[in-house]
Amino acid sequence: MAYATDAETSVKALLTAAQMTTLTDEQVDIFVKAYPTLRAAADRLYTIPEIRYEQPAVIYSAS
Amino acid sequence: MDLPLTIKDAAAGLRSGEYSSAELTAGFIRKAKELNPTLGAFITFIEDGAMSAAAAADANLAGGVDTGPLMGIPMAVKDIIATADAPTTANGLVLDPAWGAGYDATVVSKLRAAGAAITGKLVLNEFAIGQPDASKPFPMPQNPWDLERSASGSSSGTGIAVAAGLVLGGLGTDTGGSTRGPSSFNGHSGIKQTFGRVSKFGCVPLGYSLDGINPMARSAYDCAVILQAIAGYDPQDPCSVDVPVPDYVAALNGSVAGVRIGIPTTYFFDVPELDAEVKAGVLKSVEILKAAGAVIVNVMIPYAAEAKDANTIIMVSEAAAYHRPDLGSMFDTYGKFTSQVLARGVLFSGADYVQAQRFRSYFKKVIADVMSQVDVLIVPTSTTTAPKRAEMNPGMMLTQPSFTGIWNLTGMPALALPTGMSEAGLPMSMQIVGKPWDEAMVLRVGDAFQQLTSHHLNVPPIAAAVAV
Repeated sequence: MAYATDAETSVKALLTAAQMTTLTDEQVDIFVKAYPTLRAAADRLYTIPEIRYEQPAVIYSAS
Repeated sequence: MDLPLTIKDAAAGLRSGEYSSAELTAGFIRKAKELNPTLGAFITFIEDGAMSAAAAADANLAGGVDTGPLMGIPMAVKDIIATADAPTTANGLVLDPAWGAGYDATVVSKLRAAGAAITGKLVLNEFAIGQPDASKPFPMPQNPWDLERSASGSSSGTGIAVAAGLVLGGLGTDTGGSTRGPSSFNGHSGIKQTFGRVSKFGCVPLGYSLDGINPMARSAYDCAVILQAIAGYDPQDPCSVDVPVPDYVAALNGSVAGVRIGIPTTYFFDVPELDAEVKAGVLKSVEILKAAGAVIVNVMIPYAAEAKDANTIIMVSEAAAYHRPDLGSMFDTYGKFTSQVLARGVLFSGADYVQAQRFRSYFKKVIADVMSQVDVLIVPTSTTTAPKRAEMNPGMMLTQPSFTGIWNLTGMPALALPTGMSEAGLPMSMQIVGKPWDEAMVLRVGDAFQQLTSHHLNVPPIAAAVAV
């Protein structure tokens, strides 16, 4: 299967999924330009070998 | 009257009869009202409430009742914290006006119990994020050292008010540096205490697992006094932790003899964005502490850049969960810079958020290992002095290094305090970072430094020129 990988397609899909559908093209473009930087920041966190088996720092107590 | 510069001096003046709290509070309100049109620090003045608190403090003083060092002291709080006697706006038009109506946040209740006279609600970057937007009907915050420059944020109003002497102390919040940034750019002290030390009940959230409500004042001593008043367990805040609160003021012994100060050899002092004057100011301050008996230890902090990114991902993801319905229906009602930053949260996945929290678990252990070698770390607060507002944009938050959000990620206490003035006449700042729950050591080192220096007593010329 072929997927669209450009930032504009991704950003528009994510904004639409979040029901942010009233943005102007100019507003969307700001996110499109920022998206590669945001994505790279998140992706770097998956490359750190030391956290391969780490637990997340979220706390939940059933009691 | 000559208004005192610090809470410590004001408390002494009240007790010696040099002035009453009514005189003191009225003087600060007059000064604030005179400068507010220029500096844009206050959204709301609470004059009647403040004067009532001042009268009560004066009655206590006359009757031999002393509720502590904040009794009769004029203070103000960031307008994202609920106060029963004034609306809370979060500096925007989106927040439901009914939010926070009719009750005090826990920190406000504690300040009132300590006798503080709360003079008003202070400007912030809308919802504690983004940048000021001149198209919205709120005061534009101006740096009192140079009106063309940023007062930083998000607790810009508190930073301006403290630096310009419009109050003696105030409360900010901090999710990625929002207390320490304004302390840095405006030239005073501000501490982000350990996560869970101070209740967040009654504060509009930004990043649930990162936020804190924090003291901002001219000196580390004054920050200690404020923290003493607001710290403590609160069952209304699920992040609040039931641990003993030490006597912070008693810990200020003026000595750093034998205190081990860690200086990170990577990231904090070697990123290319770090201004040479800012770096020199921090290192000169470290030398002052070394001459006073501190032991300097070089340490290595791996993955500091990734820690900044993890803090950003967690912050905007948690914020986007809170704001998503309003971003969908009122995107343009937010300030344009606010919506640009908040909506970044929807561009990350749930897995990204969890991965950032997994990194956080790992990084906490990394830092614990580093802190086993030292008592505190010292790093710059900001990479530069205050930039010109016209040169700023929300994209800078993405690409610039940050020395503050890392300590929100770890939850550790971090005190920002002035290291001097740049050649351009702008404040420079460093952070003293401590072990979890050890604000006492952080404040002790900061207070000892300020007993050896006077940078924290610098007053912007625009404020020094006002007579009340």
